Amino acid sequence: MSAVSADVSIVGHPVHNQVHVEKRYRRLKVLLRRPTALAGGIGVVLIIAVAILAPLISPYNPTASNFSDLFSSPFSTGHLLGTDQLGRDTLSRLVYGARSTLEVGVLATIVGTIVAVPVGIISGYYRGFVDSIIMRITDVILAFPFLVIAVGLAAIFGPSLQNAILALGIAQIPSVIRISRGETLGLREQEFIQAAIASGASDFSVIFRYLLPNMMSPLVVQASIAIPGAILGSALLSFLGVGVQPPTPAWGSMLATAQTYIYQDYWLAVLPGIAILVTTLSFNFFGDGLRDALDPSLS
Amino acid sequence: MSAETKILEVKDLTVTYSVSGKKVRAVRGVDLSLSKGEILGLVGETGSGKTTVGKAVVRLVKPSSGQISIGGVDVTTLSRSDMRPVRRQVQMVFQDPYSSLNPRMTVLQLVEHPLKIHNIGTRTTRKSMVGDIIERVGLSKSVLSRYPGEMSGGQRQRVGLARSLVLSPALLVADEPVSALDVSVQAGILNLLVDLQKDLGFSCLFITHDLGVAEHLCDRVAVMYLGEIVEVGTRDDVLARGYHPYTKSLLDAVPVPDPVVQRNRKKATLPGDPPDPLSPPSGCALHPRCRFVVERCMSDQPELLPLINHKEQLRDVEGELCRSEEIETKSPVSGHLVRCHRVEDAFALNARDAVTSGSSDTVVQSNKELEGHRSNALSASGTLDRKDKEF
Repeated sequence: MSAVSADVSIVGHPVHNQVHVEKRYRRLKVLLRRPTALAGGIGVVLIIAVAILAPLISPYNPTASNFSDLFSSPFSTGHLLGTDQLGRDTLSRLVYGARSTLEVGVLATIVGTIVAVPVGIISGYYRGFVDSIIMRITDVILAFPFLVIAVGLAAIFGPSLQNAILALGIAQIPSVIRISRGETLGLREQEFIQAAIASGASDFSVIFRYLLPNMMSPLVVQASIAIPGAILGSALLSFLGVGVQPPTPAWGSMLATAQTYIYQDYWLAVLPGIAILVTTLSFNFFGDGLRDALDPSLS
Repeated sequence: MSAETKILEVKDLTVTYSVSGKKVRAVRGVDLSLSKGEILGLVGETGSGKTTVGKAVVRLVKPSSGQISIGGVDVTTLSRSDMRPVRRQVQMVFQDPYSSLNPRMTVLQLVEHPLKIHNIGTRTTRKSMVGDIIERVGLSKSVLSRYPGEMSGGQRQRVGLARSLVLSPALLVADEPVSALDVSVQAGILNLLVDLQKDLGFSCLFITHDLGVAEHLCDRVAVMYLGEIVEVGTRDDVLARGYHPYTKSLLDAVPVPDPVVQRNRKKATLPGDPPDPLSPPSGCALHPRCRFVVERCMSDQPELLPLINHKEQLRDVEGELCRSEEIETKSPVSGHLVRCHRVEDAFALNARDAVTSGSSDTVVQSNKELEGHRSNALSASGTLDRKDKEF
């Protein structure tokens, strides 16, 4: 055997850099090729834009009542989507409602993820006694439906935006712990983790440089699926009166108030309902697309 | 070989895993030693515990009992933080180049990380050290910004080698570093390993199931079966004059690249499968599969003894004395150790089989031919497991 080096690298070609860049965009292409994912993505971007640009978009102050113009129907008297029982502009309330709704949905997911991921990693990385304890606790909590826990916690904490975020965030924790633990269990058997330990890396460095970066894609997917859940949850909380408090516009509370007038002025219930539906669907479709695009078996 | 030059000393190493409440002794009392600049091959089937020995040496698994000394320092009981300076001395190359590199780090980050862990150099000196070692393993510096996913298996394994050698360790534990690679690429990596070993002078514990690779590379070879070393000696002692029935069967399983010889040769293949490590056989671990088995093998666990001692023990066996002398002359007491009650009988029976099967004189001749062919087959780097199935 002579010094064969059949695998001498082919390097230094400018072509290679191009390939490198194209590879990065390929996942995006996979994501956008699916019509549902594309529609979801557009929906998500639009909703976020609406929430950010609310003061510019909304034609009226969402909390200003006008008692001379109650229950006007859509497309009438200068109110595109009509007014409610206090004469407030429904479009403005929906636009501002996107703010509180997204705020609750996104922040609750962030809170839940930030708390749960370290716990899940510790559980999966160290195994043993700690792992058993954490897993039994999550088992117990997972036995209750997500919304029941969220409503229960919100009722205990008292009604406010912050407490709604906290309640929905905490309710997410057990399932995120499960996911990050599972990912950790799979990764810690990989040889590159063993290699890091063998070269003397500390647990801190193993967790932050090796485990966490490699579990980002499942976590992002999980978050994109958890956000619509939290949005629905926030709608439920404000519907039940334990979430965002009036006069702050929120889709759930709009829906709850509209119940009273549903036979005469059904659009007051339909419009926030559509907003919730579209937002939830957009995030769900986008999340599904993201999961497919980040699936390593496709690349 | 004085005690000072021993890079690695393993004494009576036992590693126990617990599998669903039951204890499995994956490694059962292994003794090893490695001098400076020596390559020791650890060969054996899947499940023989060879990888576990390697992992115990770099402390990826905790030894249940026994002692491991690295450069004279007993590391068996060191805590993780006390272990860190020792880890600089011992590095590991992994089997699978596809899972042994963090897919989220560039080659530069991957190879630099061990230096960072051990606080060596500044940012710029580290980068030049990484560049040097990358070129040393036959890659171009332009791979530094690439991710492992953009490289071939051979290139990845070179990166893995660079990562292990960047700390200039005294001992490299190589766990089947080429078995996941194409045969054409294997040769390149093996030659690279030999060259680097000559240049840098590290010792190497080379774990493999491929006798051809072991012969190409190793100074000494240890054969493992069911968590025990059954035979150890210089490469030629073990691979050309192996005495243990298990070693013999491994050697006979290596195909000869001549169909006529291959078809007619007398092979001492083992019947059955390796026993369940959960309940290892009593006495000699090989006894259920060994054709030289006597009652003693079932009850007494044989010791790993120098050949000369085996001879002393069995001096009273009638008719085998001339064979004993032959053993003695063929094998100087150079640390060729065998774990078998029936070394001499096995040797004698092997020889007798060769004579009685087929027409006598031609067989003797073809047996000699066979020796030649066998070494050819070995150096052809044939993978034992794979090829054995083909025939």
